[in-house]
Amino acid sequence: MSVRNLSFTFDGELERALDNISLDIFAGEFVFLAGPSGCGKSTLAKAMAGYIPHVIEGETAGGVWIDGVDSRELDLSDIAVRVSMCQQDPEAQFCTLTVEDEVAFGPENLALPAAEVKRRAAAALADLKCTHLRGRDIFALSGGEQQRVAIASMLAMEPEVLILDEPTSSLDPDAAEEVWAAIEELRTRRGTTIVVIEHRFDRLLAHASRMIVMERGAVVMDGEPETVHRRYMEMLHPSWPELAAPLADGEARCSIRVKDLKFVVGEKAILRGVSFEARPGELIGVVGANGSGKTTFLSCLVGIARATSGEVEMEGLNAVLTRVSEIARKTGFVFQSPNHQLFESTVGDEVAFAARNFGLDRQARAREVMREYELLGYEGRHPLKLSHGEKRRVNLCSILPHDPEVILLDEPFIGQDAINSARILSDILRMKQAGKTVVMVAHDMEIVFRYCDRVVLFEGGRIVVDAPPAEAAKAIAEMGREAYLPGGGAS
Amino acid sequence: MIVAYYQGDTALHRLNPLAKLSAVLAGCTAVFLFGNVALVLGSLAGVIAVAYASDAGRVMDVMRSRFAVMLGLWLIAINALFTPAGRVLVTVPFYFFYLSITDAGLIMGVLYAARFLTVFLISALFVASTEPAALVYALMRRGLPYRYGFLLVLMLRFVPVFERERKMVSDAQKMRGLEIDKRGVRSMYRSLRYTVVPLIVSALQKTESLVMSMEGRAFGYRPDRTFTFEDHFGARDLVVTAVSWAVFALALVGRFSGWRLLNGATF
Repeated sequence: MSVRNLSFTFDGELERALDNISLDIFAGEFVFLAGPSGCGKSTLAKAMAGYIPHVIEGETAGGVWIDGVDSRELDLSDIAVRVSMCQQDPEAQFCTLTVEDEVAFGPENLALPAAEVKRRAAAALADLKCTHLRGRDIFALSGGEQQRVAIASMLAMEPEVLILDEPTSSLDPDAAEEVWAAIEELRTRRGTTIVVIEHRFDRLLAHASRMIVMERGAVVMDGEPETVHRRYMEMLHPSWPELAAPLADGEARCSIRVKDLKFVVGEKAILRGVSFEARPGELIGVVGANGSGKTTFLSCLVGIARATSGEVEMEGLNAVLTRVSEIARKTGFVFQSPNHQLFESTVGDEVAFAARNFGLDRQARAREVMREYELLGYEGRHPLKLSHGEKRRVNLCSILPHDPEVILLDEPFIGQDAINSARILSDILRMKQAGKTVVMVAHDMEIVFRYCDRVVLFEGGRIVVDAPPAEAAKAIAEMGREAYLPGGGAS
Repeated sequence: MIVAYYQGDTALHRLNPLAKLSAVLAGCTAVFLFGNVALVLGSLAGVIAVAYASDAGRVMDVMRSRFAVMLGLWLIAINALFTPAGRVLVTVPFYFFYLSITDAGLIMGVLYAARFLTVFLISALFVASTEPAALVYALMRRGLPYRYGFLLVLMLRFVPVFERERKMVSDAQKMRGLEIDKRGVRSMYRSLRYTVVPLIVSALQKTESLVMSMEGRAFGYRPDRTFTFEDHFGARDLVVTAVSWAVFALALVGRFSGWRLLNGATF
């Protein structure tokens, strides 16, 4: 594949998303495409896969040549059998309801003979180790299984190039490792050319044969992964915050107290007897596999999910019996998806939204919080028009003006680049230093083990480790769960 | 009470979706063509028997739901009170007028209630025992243009997704102090304003991903496509389909020929 002098500007935008890019991708390469959020990585991937200019409209100069043919002269179905692209959210790209139908969808559209469709589907499922999932409801699969099925469904087109846009960003370390192993095997067995867009380097550097770095729509580095990574880190230089002061001794008051919490849906036990305590000024990192009960645990703390049995006390309120709106006055909860928690038409109104609903006059406090979080310049802008990182910071900022004592964060670093992650982390540490109890679900073990006061590992609806980072690391290593240690998943 | 498909291996589950669709269409039309209350009550009893015989007894919860019971009673009451034809059984005096309950009114009420409950139960049995995607694939295999067929598949695919997203938005609203579950116009307005926008944004993002995913797998580029989905249309399906349409034809002929056995008494 050759990209020649490619520039692209989205309709309605002034700035170029891609700026005069030229590069060649050779058969069998494993290319790691990196760069800060908004630098144009996904746009370049869409151009390589033919969506630009065939689906996405804008002003294009230069082009992409696939096997020597200008992609503008091919229709998308011709490109689809050469280049396939898996998007970030596997669930969003499913067109059918079962695994078998989904993997067969592409070859069926090519009107191949039924026997050939079945052969391709079976081979793709086998290569991604998904054969046992074939009859399953696609929306009932775990995140890792969904991602592997999404890749299998693209692989069934038998493309020469497979592009993966952040394939593991929302996966737990175990599932992420499964996906990387499957991709590596794909390259070895089929010789498929792989292009991966990622924000996290640890696991990918071991697999990639080439690393390309983009910035402001242009390629700024291209070469051997180790060297490019080192140069990129020097260039990026994310300002990771200093460690926060340790928790003051003698703080005895519990802001959260949970005893033998059970949560059952139908016949399925999601939480199986969880006991937990947290004090003001503590930052607690909750880790564990997707589906291990982490998010349900946070939901039970605030009464969104009502405990089936056990005791849950949040800032002195019984969270099993108290109305959610009462608990919400003392708690701030940032959910996983930024867009689902943006309600107002300006950042200023969004930040003041909760305080206003609680009947509090906190306009001055809202402005003070925006100043602290460097969002004052965005006050009049529409929250939905901000970047992913900016939206996340608005989410964090929006839970503060009513001064909650407890902050619950569900995956605050998903989809964030190193610079945004460092900024968000500084914001979280500021909350801790203000004496708030912060409970954070995260898959980033480097951040959790470096900055949290305690690490809590969930497994099968139970807490199996709850200790300060050094002790937790030892316990997790003894359990053989290295994927939940810093750098543990790197091979 | 919400009826939804559940996985099972009952005789109804095993029937071909198209055979069941034939039975639903023929059955629902026939009970409206039959004027004989005994025949309609017999049809209702027959459908209840099918529900139990095919181990779909849980569908009977539909019949016991408050909505079904209230609507049935309401249909009987309205017809009994406001049908003037027939022999007067009871006269109810009001301040300014009398309401007479007639035998014809009572029979009409029972007839309408039985029709409604029969249609309700037939539909519930169909929904509970038919996998929606299997029905759409069966229709596509028999000539429904695949672009329209997948429109239905995509609608089915989005239902659980949007329900989950609505819950996520609702949870986020509660945690920010927005109480939209109160009654009243203001609460309804706030609910629409603060729920619809995030859901629309999410829908647009998902639609974009989906379009790319479908186009990236060559959807719609060829006039025909292959279907590997296999459905079996056996002797039992054939019998069900034939009986369904025979009943429909009988009802149609009976209706327009004035056959008393099917049309019942005239008042």
